[in-house]
Amino acid sequence: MAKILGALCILLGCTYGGVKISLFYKKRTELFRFLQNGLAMLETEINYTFTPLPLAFEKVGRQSNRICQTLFLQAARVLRSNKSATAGEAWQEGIAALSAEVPLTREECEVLALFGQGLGKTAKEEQLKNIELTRRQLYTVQKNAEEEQAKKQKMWQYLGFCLGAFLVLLLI
Amino acid sequence: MNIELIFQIAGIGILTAIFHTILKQAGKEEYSFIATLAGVSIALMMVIQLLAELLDQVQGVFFL
Repeated sequence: MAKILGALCILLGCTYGGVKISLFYKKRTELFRFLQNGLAMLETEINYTFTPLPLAFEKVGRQSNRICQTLFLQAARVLRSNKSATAGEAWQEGIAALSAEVPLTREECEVLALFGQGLGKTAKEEQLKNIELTRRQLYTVQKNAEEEQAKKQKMWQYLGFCLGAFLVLLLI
Repeated sequence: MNIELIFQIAGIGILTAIFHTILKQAGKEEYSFIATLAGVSIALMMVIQLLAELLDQVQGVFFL
């Protein structure tokens, strides 16, 4: 009886681990989609309402999805608490907070960091161009992430279960 | 000779084949090769113990 219970525990644990890892891929695709939405909102804030950056970040963060909220809210928090911080530095902190929650590759971090470098330094038109460029880059990144998700999500689900079955077979 | 071991080795074989297929489909040929190698070596370790037993018995029969 104890043997069967242990085998079940191992099997369930490994399956859960596999599903958990596979969900990361889904989360990444969603993140890039919502980041594009967030940037569109930021564009509106800059273009039409001329909102100052800390306030704009906070507004966008509140309105956008929970996954990419961290990035905007952390940047807004840094800008508010540290008066000497530039917008780029605040954005960088936001990226650091985001990558702690969702695993990002170096290339994706660079796309986001590049956006931060031009942030708050130039005139409105340049800002809008920067946002448009970043959105286009994020679209490419999203397509790549979707491809990766299609490939790897299933793999991790099956792999988790198979690993559990393998361990059970070895230990039985 | 217990029949359980045979089933165990058969199960390892089946799961190794599944591992190989999944990893190959995901485009990770090198990992699929490693997984197959690991499966084969684990099965081999089980078989080697039995082979050693068999060898002992043969030696015993011929008083070597």
